[in-house]
Amino acid sequence: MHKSQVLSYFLIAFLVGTLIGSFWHFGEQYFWIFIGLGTLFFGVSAYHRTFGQTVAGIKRRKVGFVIGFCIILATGGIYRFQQFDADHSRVTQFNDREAGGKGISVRVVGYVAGDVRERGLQSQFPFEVKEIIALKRTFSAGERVLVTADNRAGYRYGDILTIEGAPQAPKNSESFDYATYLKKQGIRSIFSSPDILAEGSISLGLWERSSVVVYRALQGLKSRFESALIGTIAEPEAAYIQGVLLGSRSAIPERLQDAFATTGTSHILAISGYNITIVAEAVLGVLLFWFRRRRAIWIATAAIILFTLLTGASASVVRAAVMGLLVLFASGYGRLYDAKNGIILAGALMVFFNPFILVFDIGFQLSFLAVIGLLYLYPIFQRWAQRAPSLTGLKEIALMTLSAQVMVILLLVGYFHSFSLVSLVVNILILPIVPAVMLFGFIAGISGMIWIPLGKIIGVVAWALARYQLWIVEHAASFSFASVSISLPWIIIVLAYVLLIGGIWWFYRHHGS
Amino acid sequence: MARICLNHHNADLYGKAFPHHYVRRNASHISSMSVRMDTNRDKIIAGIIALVLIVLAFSSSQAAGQKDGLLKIYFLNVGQGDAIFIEAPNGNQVLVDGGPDSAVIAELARVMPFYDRSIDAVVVSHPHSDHIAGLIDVLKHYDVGYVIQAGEQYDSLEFRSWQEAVAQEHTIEIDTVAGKQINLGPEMTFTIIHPLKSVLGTATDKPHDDNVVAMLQYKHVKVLLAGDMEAAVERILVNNNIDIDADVLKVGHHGSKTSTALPFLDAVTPQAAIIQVGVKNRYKHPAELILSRLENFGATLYRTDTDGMIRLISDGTSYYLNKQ
Repeated sequence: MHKSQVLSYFLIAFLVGTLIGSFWHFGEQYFWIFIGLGTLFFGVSAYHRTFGQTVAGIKRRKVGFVIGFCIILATGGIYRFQQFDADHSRVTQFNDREAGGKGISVRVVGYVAGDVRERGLQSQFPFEVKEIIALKRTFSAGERVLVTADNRAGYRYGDILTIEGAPQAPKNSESFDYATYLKKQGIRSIFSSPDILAEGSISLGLWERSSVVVYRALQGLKSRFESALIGTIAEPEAAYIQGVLLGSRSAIPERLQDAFATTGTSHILAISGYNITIVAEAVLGVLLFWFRRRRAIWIATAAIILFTLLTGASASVVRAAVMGLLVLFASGYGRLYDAKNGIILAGALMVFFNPFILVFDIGFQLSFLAVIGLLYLYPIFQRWAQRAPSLTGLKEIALMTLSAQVMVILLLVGYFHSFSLVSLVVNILILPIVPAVMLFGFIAGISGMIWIPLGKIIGVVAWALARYQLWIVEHAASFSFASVSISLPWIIIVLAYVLLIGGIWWFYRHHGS
Repeated sequence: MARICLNHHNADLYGKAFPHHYVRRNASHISSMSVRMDTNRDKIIAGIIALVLIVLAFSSSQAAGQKDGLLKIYFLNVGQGDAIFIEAPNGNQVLVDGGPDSAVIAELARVMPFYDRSIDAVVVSHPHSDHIAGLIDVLKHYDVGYVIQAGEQYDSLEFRSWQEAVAQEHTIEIDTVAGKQINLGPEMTFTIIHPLKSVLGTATDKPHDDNVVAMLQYKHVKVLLAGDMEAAVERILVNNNIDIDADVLKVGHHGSKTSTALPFLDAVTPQAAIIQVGVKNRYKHPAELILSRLENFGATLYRTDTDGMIRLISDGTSYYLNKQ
């Protein structure tokens, strides 16, 4: 066994552990049993006489070591999930508690910890609770809740607030699993219309304090950028450009969001690894005219990091950026072996920091699968389509789209019970323009921050490109056959993925990389 | 030659110690590749420029087609609330109220050309949230020249947010009082007919009593914008013999039974009536009583909850109303 292969087994073991932890809860005694089992494998393999001193015997002992370690790491994954789960359910204990027909009020102190969305007369923001004051006692906490305030007081990231209200568990509607949607962000309680006292005092650790300061500055930059954008470009194109550039969907009219879903193009509106890969490739393509490939890759890396910071560096964008960088380096240096470990390592780290994303974050799963498609399926398709003409890069974009789509399509069917028939055509028609829209939208926003009239001139170009894309999406969505509904049981979907990944593995085994 | 070598993606593997025979053997291949990349780049840039030009040509010809020297009034479909966009024949634009949320932005985008990022004036009928909340978003999206409102103080979070948003914009504030007239172009006026006395700076907890009522006149066509005026204000207008005769009435207070009294209708004699109201709103607006009253009066009825956006076009002698 190769060293790097062993590492990937360890990481996969951790991921499997987290997966198991997400579905079943284990008591303390089980952990001892699992660790005991792992130690047993260790102990047996450590004894030098086990399996004899032959080459085969030594190999078996090594396998035994690896299995033992995998079991312990999987146990670690289960433990990590349960510990994370418990840490993030202090406020949750007060959810929907009632006394005399009214919710029991809890007072919490903390800070605004994310984008403040202002809609109609309300503002909504994630809030990091540091202290809970209930039943005349103060508990410390580190948990995120969602606050919906009845005003637009212009709250900003990092504002320290004291909030008093009755927390509620999120309620699912028929069509939308709100609880799961919030859970992946670590949110399991909502304060609607609480009393908000602006002042509050909490002491944060050095790390948390400095990250709040940095984020606050980034968020300020982002909101200035956004207001420059909506002041220079007409709607709904401005909202669409915000979606493409910053991943914020809230301003896009619902009708349009539905059109994106029907045509299988919603991924454009969220910053995903796929999305960032396209940007990176475009930047790289331009840079290659002037720089050597390796230098160009480093400049593209810097561009991605800058982009991530400018968009506010939210957890999902950081995840996407990591995925995008992985694809960039894998295609740049062309070492598939490292790419595989890199992607598993990135996935494992992300899951370690927030175990909820593995099962609850559709975006994470889609991103991950799309990146696997780009790294492994794309070269296969490229080999098959070697003879086809490039058509100014159109072939490459079509194949990239196809390889990402093939990987995610079953998962999309599993979640949304529908399958878009126009998806491939629409994606090929609009994806080549996405980097151009992002570029001009970005320049328009930046120049709008400096001098509005300049932003308006460049904004016209961004508007026209966005108009074209929206026109395609709207018209494609209006076809009656744009989307068909099908339901598949999860077991079939899981099996299909096992077959798909097995097939890819088999292909590389027999045809080399 | 050196530049061409750099373009080749394997070049850096060989670094500066590039073997001469390699260069010679591959020179033709490398340079042809470089040429191909250059033409590719040019093609992509040309394609993007062509696309931008086609879209711009198409949309500006559409926008130009709308510049026909006619008055247009759009009663926007913003749910339970009022929002009326007026475009004078010479292009001057006025927005009366902004509805309860950002829905007004999507509606404005339907009726304004893409390059137009400004609105000449915004009129606030009164400080209730279903009339001003959307205006906060309007200020964010558009340059607004004038804000025209009664100027009373009303204690609500929404109104405070609105006032803060106005203070941040570089707009000119104008207070309203009966008789004030705003010229929107040749033979086109926007005349304030209520409040009769200035309420600037006074505090109120019943904004409907100070509601800004305006008469829009283009040559012979008159449109009465009633805001949320209730029967008490209607009585004041009728008793003071103020000329409120109009062709089209924007029905007061979303068709609530507290407005549109008979003596008022007698004075207005509208041929058409427009109700801006949300689907299944919790106030159960519009009232059956008012609907049948308007019908008995012979007024053609339009409602944003069933008809969506409603457009009025006029050349000053006749007018035409339709759903959009």
